[in-house]
Amino acid sequence: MIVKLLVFGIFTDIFGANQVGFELPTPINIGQLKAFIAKKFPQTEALNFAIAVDETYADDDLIINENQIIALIPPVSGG
Amino acid sequence: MKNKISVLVTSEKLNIQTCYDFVKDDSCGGITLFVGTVRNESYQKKVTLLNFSTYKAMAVKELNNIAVQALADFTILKIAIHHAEGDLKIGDIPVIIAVSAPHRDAAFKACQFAIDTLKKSVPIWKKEHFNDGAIWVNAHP
Repeated sequence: MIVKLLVFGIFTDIFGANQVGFELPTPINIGQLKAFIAKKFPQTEALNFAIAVDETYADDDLIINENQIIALIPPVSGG
Repeated sequence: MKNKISVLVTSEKLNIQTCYDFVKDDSCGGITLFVGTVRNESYQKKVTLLNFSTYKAMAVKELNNIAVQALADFTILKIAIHHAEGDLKIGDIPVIIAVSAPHRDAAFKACQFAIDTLKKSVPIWKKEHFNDGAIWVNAHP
């Protein structure tokens, strides 16, 4: 399936975009998606990023569905 | 619960009085107010500008979660958490947290909890601009 990812913070510099899409095998969980991203973009690996599904932080074992809103969340720095 | 919480992520200028007025109540003996301000220096370099970008829909949800948690964990009456987005200059206000409580101890503790948790979990990103470049804060291990 094609997984579309919203991209924020330093990831917009790394990916050069606010949104990216990848063709990925199914089923795929959050942990596997993180590993895929870290392998494809080695600069992201040291950042210990999180992934949100439908605007909520997701655990590594959550399986992703095609119609969900998935976002890469690099270390936050609000306040 | 809803009339006890005011959460806002906005590109408009934040307003301290608005937050104060929201939490103010005759049953409360104290109000704590945390106001974040843009500092003129970072890493021994002069800051020219800060930019805050947000995942707005999720940031609002997370701020609301913090407020709900604060109301559950501390004996407080109301809480306002307002955060700015976009470009901010030195001295501008990126964040305001106001908490009212019958007694001061809970108001101080809830306010501290709210700002500490905000900095850990809310999807907002700060980019510091200097004369010779810019860096994403927290993004460099």
